[in-house]
Amino acid sequence: MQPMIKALTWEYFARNRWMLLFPILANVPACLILLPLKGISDIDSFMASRELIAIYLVLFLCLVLIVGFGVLVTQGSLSRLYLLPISTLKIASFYYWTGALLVAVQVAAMLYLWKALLPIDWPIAGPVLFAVVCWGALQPVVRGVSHSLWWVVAALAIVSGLFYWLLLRHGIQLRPGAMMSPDIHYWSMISLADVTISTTILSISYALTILRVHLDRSGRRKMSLLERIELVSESLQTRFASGSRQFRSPMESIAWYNFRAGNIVIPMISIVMVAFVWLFAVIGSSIARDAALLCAIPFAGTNLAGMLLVLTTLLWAAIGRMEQSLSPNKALDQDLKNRTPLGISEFLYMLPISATDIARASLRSSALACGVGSGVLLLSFVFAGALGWLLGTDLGTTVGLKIAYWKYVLAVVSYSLMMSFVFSNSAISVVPSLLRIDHWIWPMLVMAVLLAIRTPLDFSLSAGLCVFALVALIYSTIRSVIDRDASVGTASLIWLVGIAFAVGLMALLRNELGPVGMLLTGSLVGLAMLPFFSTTAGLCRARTT
Amino acid sequence: MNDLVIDIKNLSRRFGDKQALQDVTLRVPRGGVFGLIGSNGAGKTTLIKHVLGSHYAQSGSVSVFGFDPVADPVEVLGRIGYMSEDREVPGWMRVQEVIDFTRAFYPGWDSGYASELLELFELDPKQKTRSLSRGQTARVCLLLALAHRPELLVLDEPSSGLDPVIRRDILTAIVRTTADEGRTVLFSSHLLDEVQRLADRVAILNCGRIILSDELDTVLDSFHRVTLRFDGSSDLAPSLVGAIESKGHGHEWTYVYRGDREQLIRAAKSLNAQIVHEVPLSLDDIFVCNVQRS
Repeated sequence: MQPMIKALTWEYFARNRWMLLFPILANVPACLILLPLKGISDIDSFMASRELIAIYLVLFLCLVLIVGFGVLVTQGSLSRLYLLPISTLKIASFYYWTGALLVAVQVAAMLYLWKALLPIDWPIAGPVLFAVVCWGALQPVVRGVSHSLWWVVAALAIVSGLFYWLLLRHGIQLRPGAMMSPDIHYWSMISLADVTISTTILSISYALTILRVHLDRSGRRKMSLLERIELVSESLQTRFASGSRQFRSPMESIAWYNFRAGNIVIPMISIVMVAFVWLFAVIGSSIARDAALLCAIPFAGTNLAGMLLVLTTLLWAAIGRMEQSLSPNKALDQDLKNRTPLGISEFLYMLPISATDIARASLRSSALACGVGSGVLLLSFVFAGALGWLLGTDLGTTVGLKIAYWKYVLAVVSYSLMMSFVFSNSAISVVPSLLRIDHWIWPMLVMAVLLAIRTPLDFSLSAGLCVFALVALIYSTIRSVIDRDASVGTASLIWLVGIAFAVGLMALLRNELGPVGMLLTGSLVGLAMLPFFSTTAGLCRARTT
Repeated sequence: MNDLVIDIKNLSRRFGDKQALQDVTLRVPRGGVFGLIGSNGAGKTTLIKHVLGSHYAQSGSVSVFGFDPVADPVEVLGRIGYMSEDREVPGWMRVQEVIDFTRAFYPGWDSGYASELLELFELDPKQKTRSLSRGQTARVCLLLALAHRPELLVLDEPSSGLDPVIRRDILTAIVRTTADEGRTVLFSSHLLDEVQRLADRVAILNCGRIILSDELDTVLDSFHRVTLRFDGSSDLAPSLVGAIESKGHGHEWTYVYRGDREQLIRAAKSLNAQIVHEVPLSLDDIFVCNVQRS
């Protein structure tokens, strides 16, 4: 082996010796799901059952995701090698093929572990081939510096294609009721078509990866469409920028900063999506000459906008955390301070403003963003409902709702408001609570007791989550009152409003939610209240190490 | 009124296995320029972060303007202008927006002075900060640190990224003016000619310890490089009280000597030696000598 390859291999394993154990730990939940199945007596017929194949497929996809992401994170950015005297071909090849090998080995090892847990003859070769092809196909997308989120779109397109291939190889067609087909089976044989597909994808993606790394290394990376739009917008802003901006107080200044630095994405998603679906509805109903579409399309589109709103805040929060994990050379406190995009940077901590005021401003900014985002959804739903009423169509019946339209609208808007608020504040306020082991003692006990008395799993898990939210909330409230981050009056008011909101929502949806839904609603309200008590403490921890 | 702007007593700080600061005691008086010098990794930035309340004192105490910077960050940071080594400014803002944003935090913000500095540093207020060069970003940071006319100006490696013209002329002028107005400047650097040019007092930090702290003139006066001629020849350097380094052979030996000149003459006479050559040491030589010794 060449000294350079030896050095790179050594560096990789030396840097990631513990991280490489992560897939094994991440596999524990899969094992916990598989272990209870061991008691099934008629294992042979269960092996071929559609239910097990479905479980297997979901677990396998999670496994590929975890292993692939883990290897990618442990490899880190290639740009650190650009100034070393190594050819681009060697850099790209080394990371492409060693990554593929690691993915293959780890997926194969985990599948063997599953086989050891359950006496089922699950296939190994096909799934491992699929994992390697997934790894290879995504390399041109994830390698190199990208300043836009277009890579997410490209990655989704690639993953969709690969997913379709995986489904086909399990005998699942893309049509309604396909999961009920008796033709569903495991991917037990690698056909010539599989080999051809794999070879083609790997060859093309390998060539594209080399090209991408080459362009990246030589600084000739093409700008994406979003980057071009951003550049034009910046140039216009620079040309027509207004004069000085006056802030009345430091808190107003911080709230503006937080809103512009990240939270602005939340309402923007809603506004853009809702505007787009209404435009689409007008065009679609005109072409189809069907007036009912004018309210049915916005209804469906607004639902999608609500989901996107929640997913975007989740993605943003995850990217914030992922960026930290991608910079292992930085000290932990530096990571916390440089948190982006919904977090607060070190720049703010050097300003003469108390953590309490930063927390208030941050919460105000995120509440405004989530409120506007959800408000736009509400307006769109109301407008669609009103239009349906004017056109003489019952929108609820048209779209097949089983509950009253207004109830449905209130539920969607409330849940998207709470979830986006929780996710947008997760970095500083919620995640630190999730990472506290002492907060999990009571939830674990409750779950253990419930499972011991044979309560259904979904109820036990929901109850555990609800207890966790309650414990974290009580702890944070007491802490914030002791530290004088919140007065007793303010804390009581927040609790009162939170409880009233939770009770109101549960009363409104009492027939639809069921016990599990009630527990999850309670948990969500609790988590949404948490930032009001834990943000100041989180900021203090981040400010001083 | 307390005459000390910064009063650090027996401060120690450990990051994992690394002892970043060890029993550091440092007093920075009001007014004047205080230079903190040390090699890379000596603990300069860590010490500054303690002054700013960004790190809490694991042991010992830190007092700035008589306040604990961790407990009273608003009181302390409101009187400090800080330019960090990282030169961090939010990339999505325009220069004017950063100025407007920062102004909201300082009641004493001098808009006229900020405009002056904007012109002096040749900055375009409409430009996005992420499109600025490293040097231009450093100028923005310097502007933000200065425009509220802070009582204490803390500059962490201020020359890093600044071009020679800005560094020699403008930075020097700003630092001197600030000090002449009775305010205090604490700056860290490993560019010793710069420290020698600017500072009134210096402290040398090495491996987390303060190994020397005094007025610059006193420091420069108390270190000499002398060559002594002895009557007898020797393979080992004759022991000279106050010498911290020696080299030579035979009759002639060169010493780095710490102490006043009278003591040196007395010490040489007691060894029957004759001073044949004597030069004052530059701060650079003093630093190297002390760091090697410690």
